[in-house]
Amino acid sequence: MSKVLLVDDDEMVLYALSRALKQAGHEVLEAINGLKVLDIVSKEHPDVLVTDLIMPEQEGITTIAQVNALYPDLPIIAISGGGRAVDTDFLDIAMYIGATASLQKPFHENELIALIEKHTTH
Amino acid sequence: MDKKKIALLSVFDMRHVQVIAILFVALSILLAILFIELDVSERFFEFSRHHENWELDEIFLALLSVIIAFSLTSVLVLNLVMTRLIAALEQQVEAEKKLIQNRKIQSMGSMLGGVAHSMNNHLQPILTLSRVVKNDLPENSSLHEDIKRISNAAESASQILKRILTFASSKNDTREKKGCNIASSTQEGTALAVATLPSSITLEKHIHAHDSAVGISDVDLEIIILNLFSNAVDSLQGQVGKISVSLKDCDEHEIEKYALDDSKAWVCLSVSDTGIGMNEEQKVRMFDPFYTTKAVEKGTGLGLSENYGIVTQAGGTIEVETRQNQGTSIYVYLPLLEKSDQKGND
Repeated sequence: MSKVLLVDDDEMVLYALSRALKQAGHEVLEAINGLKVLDIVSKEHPDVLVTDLIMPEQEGITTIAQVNALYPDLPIIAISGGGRAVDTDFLDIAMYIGATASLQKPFHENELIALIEKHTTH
Repeated sequence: MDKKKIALLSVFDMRHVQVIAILFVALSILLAILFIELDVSERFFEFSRHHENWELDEIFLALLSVIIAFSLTSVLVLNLVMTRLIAALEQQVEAEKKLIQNRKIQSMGSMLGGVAHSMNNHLQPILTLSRVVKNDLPENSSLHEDIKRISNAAESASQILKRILTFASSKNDTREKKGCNIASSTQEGTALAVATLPSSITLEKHIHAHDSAVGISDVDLEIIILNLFSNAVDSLQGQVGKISVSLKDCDEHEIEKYALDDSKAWVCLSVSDTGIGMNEEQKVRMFDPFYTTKAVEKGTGLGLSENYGIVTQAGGTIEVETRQNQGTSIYVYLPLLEKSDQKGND
């Protein structure tokens, strides 16, 4: 069982993924945007961060860069509904700046669970 | 396109020749009228009789021959010039039409990409929660079946959005390209497409062996071929007919005609049918997402737009020749990958 910090500005997505991860036996911490992620990581010490990319207030790309700089050993899984910045996909950018893995929505929750289990050691 | 040929430059070169040719013809006509008016022949013969030793009649005839030759040459040159001018202008018009179509497709792509992104976010909770709830229900319960249907419907919607995103991402993809061997993948894709061909349709294949790769995966090439065959079969409307599939190297004429990057080698994959063809409006709209001439539920209208997205991402282009009731030919031009660009399929 892993402690997963899940970040998404869409409450329905947050609820659905949280339900699926809990059904699979994981502990889930939720955040509606990236502003408090560093604070939560420092206090709760999650085993993995799962974050959406396109969010208001603070982009997921920024959150990934910040977390990766301070906690380079924390696996980060980027999720996104798709979209391009100029000629490069947002998910590619996330991988470039330090995400461990990425998934394009809508994905099967088993894919997310498999990635979490792969990148956390218990 | 990496290089655009400007037809008007060739027209400017031709314009000087055209002016000279027109002058020659005008001069010839003027001289002819002058000779007739002044009865030049009679006067010349009178003069030559008085100067028989000059052999002026032969000189006159020689001059006349030169003038006639120049006139004929001018007419021929003018004809050549006009033919090239018309061809250049036609090429210019086609290039402008293509540019307008590309811009339209890019605008639609941007809009649809935004819609698809938003819809993907909404589909995620539908798919995830339906599966989570299904896992908690007994398998033989009616609710389990209902939830399964919700999940399947959402999954279908997800597949449609994936195809839209393929179209929406149709800018030239600069990422490292997945390649496939064009000849073997074409053979495999054709075999798949042919498996469901009605018996009323005969197939003609001209696939030349080619040990080179193009910048799309074998799965995407399969999608292209299946989409093209699907449209070809539909255009035959159950009648007896023929579908031809061909793969060949592009020659210089095609590279110039479609303004392809001449620093690369190109192949052309084409699928032709003897079906009902398209009118001008259908041809202009054929790459628009969701545009279809088929009945509702017979087609999503995404096949050709999906093909467009795949091909342009690989740096290629699609050209179409069609006439109503005379069939359609769709030509997919793809640049061959350099060895250093190739990456195996996953």
